[in-house]
Amino acid sequence: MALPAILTNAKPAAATWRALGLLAILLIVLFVFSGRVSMVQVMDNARQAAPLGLIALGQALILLMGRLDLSVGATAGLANVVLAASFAGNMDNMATALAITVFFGLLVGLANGILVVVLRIPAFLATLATSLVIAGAILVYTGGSPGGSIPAGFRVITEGWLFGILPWSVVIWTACSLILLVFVHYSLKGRKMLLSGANARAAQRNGIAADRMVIFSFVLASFMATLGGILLSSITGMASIGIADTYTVDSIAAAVIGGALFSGGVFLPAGVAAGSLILFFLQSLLYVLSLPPAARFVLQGSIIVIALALSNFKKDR
Amino acid sequence: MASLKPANHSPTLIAVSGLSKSFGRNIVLQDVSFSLGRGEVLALVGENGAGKSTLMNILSGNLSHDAGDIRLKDATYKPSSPADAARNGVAIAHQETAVMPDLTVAENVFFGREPRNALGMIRQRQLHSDFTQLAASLGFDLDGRKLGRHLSAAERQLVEIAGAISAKPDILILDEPTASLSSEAAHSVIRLMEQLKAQGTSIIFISHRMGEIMEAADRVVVLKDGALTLAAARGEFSEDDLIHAMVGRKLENIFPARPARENAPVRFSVRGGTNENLPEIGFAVRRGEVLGIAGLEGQGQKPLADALCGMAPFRSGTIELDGEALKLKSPAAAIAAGIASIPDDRKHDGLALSLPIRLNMSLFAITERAKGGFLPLAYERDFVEGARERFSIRSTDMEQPVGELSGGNQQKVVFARWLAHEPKLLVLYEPTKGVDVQSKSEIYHLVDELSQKGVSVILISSDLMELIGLSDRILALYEGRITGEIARSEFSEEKIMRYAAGLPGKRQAEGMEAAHV
Amino acid sequence: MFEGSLRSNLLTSLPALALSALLIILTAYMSPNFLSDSNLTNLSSRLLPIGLVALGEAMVLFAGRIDLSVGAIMSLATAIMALTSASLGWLAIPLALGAGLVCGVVTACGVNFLRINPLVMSLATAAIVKGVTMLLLPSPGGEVDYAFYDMLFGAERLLSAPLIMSLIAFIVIAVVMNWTRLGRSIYAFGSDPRAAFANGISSLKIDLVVFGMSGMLAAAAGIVLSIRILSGDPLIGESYTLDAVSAAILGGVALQGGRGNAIGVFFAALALVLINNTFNLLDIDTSFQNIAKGLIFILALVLFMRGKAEEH
Repeated sequence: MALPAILTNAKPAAATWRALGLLAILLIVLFVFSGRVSMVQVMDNARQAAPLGLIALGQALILLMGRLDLSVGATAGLANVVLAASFAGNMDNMATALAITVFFGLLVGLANGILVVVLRIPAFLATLATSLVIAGAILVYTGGSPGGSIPAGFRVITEGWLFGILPWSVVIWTACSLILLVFVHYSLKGRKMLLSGANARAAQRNGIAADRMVIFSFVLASFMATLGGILLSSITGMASIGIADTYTVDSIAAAVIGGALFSGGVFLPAGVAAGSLILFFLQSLLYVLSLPPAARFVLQGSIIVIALALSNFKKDR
Repeated sequence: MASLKPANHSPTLIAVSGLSKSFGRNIVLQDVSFSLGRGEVLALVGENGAGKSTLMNILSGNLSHDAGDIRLKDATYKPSSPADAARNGVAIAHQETAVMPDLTVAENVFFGREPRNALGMIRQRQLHSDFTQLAASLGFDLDGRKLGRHLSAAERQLVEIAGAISAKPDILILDEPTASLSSEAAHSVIRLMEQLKAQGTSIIFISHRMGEIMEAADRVVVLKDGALTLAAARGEFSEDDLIHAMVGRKLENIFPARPARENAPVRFSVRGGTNENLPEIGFAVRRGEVLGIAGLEGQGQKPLADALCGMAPFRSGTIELDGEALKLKSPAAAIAAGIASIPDDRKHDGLALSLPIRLNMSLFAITERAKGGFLPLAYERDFVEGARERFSIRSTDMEQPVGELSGGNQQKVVFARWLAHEPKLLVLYEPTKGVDVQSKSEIYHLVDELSQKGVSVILISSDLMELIGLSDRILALYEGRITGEIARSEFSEEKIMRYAAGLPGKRQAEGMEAAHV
Repeated sequence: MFEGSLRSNLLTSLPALALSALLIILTAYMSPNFLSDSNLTNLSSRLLPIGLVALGEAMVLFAGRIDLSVGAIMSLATAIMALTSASLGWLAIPLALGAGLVCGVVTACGVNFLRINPLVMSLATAAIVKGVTMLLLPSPGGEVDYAFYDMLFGAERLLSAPLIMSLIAFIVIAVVMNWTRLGRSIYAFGSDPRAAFANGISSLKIDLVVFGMSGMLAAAAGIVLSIRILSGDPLIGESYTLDAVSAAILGGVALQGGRGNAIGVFFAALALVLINNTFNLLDIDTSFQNIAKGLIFILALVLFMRGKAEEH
C-alpha cells in the first residue's frame, strides 16, 4: 500500500506470483528426481530456455495489444537461416550478418503490422499467411539445404558465462525483459500501448493513435523473435529448416502461463520469463521421464487450456 | 384516443411473490411481489438498472430466479428456457436490438416456429405468406423479405412486437416497445395493446413515457435498485408518485438550480455540418450554456456525438469555437481544441475495464507532464488521489480495476479524466445511462459547476427528466436534422416529444446563430 | 425455394463461382490434358479432402467461431486408418470419424464451459491432437487396405465416386444450413450472439454442433487422404488448416459469422484445387507454391474481408 509511486508500476501481479510459485515447485520436483541441487544446472537450463524467453516476450507484446502472432516461429527460423548464410562461418562478417538478420526480422514485423492495420486482416490470419510465405521463401532460397554456419567466436553469447556464474544469454534475456518492462510501464508511449491494448476503441477516442501502436508492437515482436532466432543459431551453430516452428505455440503457452490475457492490456515480463522456464523445465522433465518427444505437444496444448481456464475462472468470481 | 377500461375484477393470471435474483455479490432483484389478472395491462417502471430487464428475463425464461415463487394459472412457473416459457403462454418482445441481422423480417418473426414439411425443412413460401397475413392483421407496414440489418430502429421494434404476438400468448411482455417509435407509431402500439387486451391477453410493458403509462396501464409496478417501491392500480397513483417511487426523492433535490444565461456570447457553432449519417445540422451553444438535444432512438444522436468528438468527422460545413474556425478531423484534434466528450457506451468507448482506476483516469494529466517520454508517477498518484476524493469515487484504492466499480463510479472516472485541463466544450452523450441516483445527482452538479465557469455543454440524451432538469435550451433531433427549439420557459415532455417526432417546429436555432455570426 | 435471407446468402458465392469458372477455362486452354479422364479424376480426388475440411471450417465460421485444429484432426484420422484398417477393416472408418467428433467436442467444451477464445482453444486442441497422433504414428507409415482405394478412386471417369461424394456432402450441408431450424439458428448465432440468446438459442448446442461437425468432416477428409496415399502421415494435415480457412473466405463466408454459403465454399475449394493443378501444369516448384499460396490467402483476405468488415 505505502509503496513509493515509482515502484507501483513494477509490482508483480498475482499472475506473476502464481507463475513464479509454479516454477519453484517444478524446480523442487526436478531436484528430487535428479537427486542433486545445483545452481549451475538451473542456469544451464535457463541458458537454453533464453531463445524461447525472448520469443515469448515478443508474443507477450502482441498479446498486450489483444492480438496473436502466429509467425514468431517462422521469423526466428528465418533469422537462423539468414544469420548462418550471411555469417558463413567467418567472424569478420559479424556486423553485416547481424544487420541483415535484424533487417529481415523488422521487415516481417512491418509486413504483419501493415496487413493487420492497413488492410484490416485479423492478426492471427495475417501472421499465419506471412509464416507460410516465410517458410516458402526459406525453401526457395536454400533449395531445402541451408548453408553457412555460425563462427565459434560468436557462439560465446550462448556458450560463455559471465564471471562463470551467469550465462551471457541469460544476461541478454534479463536485459531485454527489463528494458521492455521499463518501456511499457514507465514511458508515456508504453502507457498508450497499455491503454490501447486493453481497449482500442476507447484509446482512439482519447486521441491515442492505437493503430500505430499495433504496427509498432508487431515490429517489436518480430525483433524479439529475430533475437531469439539469433540465440538459437548460436546454440546450434548451424542453419536448419523449421528449427523454430514449435516456438510459435510454445511462446503463446509461455506468455499465457505468465499471466497474459487474450483480451489484451496485460504485460508481465517476469511472468513471461517464469512461463518460458516452466515450459522448458517441463520438457526436460518429459525427457528425464523418458517419455516420447510427441508428449511435448500434448503438454503444450494442455498447458494453454489449463492456464486460460484458470484465469477465466478467477475473473468470474 | 379512448382510454382503456380498467379491469380490476379479472381473475389473477400470474402472481409473483418474493422474487429475488443476484449475480455474484450484486443483488439485482430483491423480494419483488405483484400480480396480474387476465386481460390486464401492467406497466413496469423504473430507471435503467433498476432490475426491470432482469425481471423480464426471468418471466420469459432467459434467466432463472434464486428465490421466490411465480404462480401462473395456479401452477408453479419456473421456465427453463424461452421455448419453455412460450409453451406456457408467455412471450416477450425484446428491445429492437434482439432482431437477428442476417435473417429476414419474416424469419425473425417466426423464429423457432417456422412451418416445416415432413422432412423437417422450413417451408419458405408458407413462412412468407404467414408473415404477410400477420403483418396485415396487425397493421404493420413491413417487408418480410428485408434483412434485419437493413431495418430502421422503429422497424426492428415492430418486428420484435410482431414476433411475440404471433405466438398468441396469454401473457405478452413488451420491453420498451415505444422507445424508438414516433408518437404516431407509439399510439398505434398502444391501440394494439388495447385490442389484445380485449381478446383476453394480459400485457406487461416497460416504459419511460409517463403519458402512455397513465393512459394504458391498469396497474403499475415501480422498481428501484432491484426492490419494489410502488405497486398500485389505476386511479391510485399520479405521475409524481411514479417519479418519486422511481428516483426515491424529489426531483428538485437531484438537479441543481440553474440561473438563466441568455445573453452570453456564442462559444461553439456548427453550420451546414454533414456526413454520411447527418444530412445537415446547424446549431450554436453559448458560453456556459447547457444545450439539450432530444430525440427518439436512432435519429442521429450517435453520428452527431461522433462528429463532435472527431471519431466520425463532418465532411463539410463550418465549425467555430470561440470565433476560430476549426476542423475536427480526429479525436486528437478535438481534444487539442478543448472539446471533451463523454461517450454513451462507457464500457466500450470510454474505459479500459481491466485496467486500474489510476491508468484510466490519468491519461491527459500525465501527457502534459511527461519528462523525456517518462511518466510522472508521483504526480499521477497525487492527481488520481485528488480526483478520487473530489468525485467521491467509491473504490478500495486507485489500483482497483475500473470494471469492478458500479456504473456511477465508472462514469465519474470518465469525467475525472477530463479535469486535467478544463475543456471549452463538453459533449455529453447519455451521461447517466446505468448510473445510480446519487451519482447522477453528483454528475448533474458537476456539469452545472463547469458551466458556471463558462464551459459550454451539449447534452444529448433520451432521458426527458434529465433534459428538462439540466438544459437551458433544448433542440429536437429528427432524422439527423434539428427540427425544433424549445426555450427553458416552455419545457414540457409533450412538447419535446412532438418536435422529436419530426413535426414542424420553429427553427430558432439557426436564427440565433445568424444573429451572432 | 430461394426466398428470404437465402437469396442474399447465395450472392456471396458468386465471386468463387466466377473464379473457378475462369480457372477452368484458363487451364483447359493452357493444357490439352486438362479434360482427360485421368486429370479430371485426379482433380476430383484432390477436391474431396479439401472440400470436406473446408465445409467443416465453414460451418464453424457460420457460427462466428473458428477452428484451427482441422489439419491436426486430418493427420490423426490418417494415423488411425493406417494403424487399424488392417485389423478392423471397415470399422476403422467410424473409429476415425468418432475420434474427429471427440476432438470437436473437446474444443466446443473449452470454448463454452471454460470460455476460452475459440481461436486459442482450437490451437490448443491442435497441439494435443498432434501429440497424440505422433504418439500413435511417429513417422509416416502403416498401411491402408488397397480395397478402399479401389472403391474410392478406382474408376477414371468424370462422375467419379469422389466427385459424387463431394457434391452430396455440400448439398446436404447447404440444405441443413438453409432449410432447417438448426441451420438458421447457427446463422443467427453467428450474426449476433446476443440477439440469438434473447431468442432462446443455446450457445452450447451451437458450439457442439459446429465443432463436432468440423471435427468429423476433418476426420472424413483425413480418411480420404489416407486412402489416397494408402498409409498414414502424422503431419500431412498441417497445411490443410490454412487451405480450409482460405476456401471458406474465398467462398464468401464472413469471419464475423452469420454470412456465407456452402455452395460458395464448394467453388472456392474447387478453385484452390485448380490453382494447385495449374501450378503443377506450369511446372512451378513446390516451394514457390507455398509462397504463392500465402500470397493468394492474403489477397483473398484483402478482397473478401475488407468489404464485409466495413459493411458491418
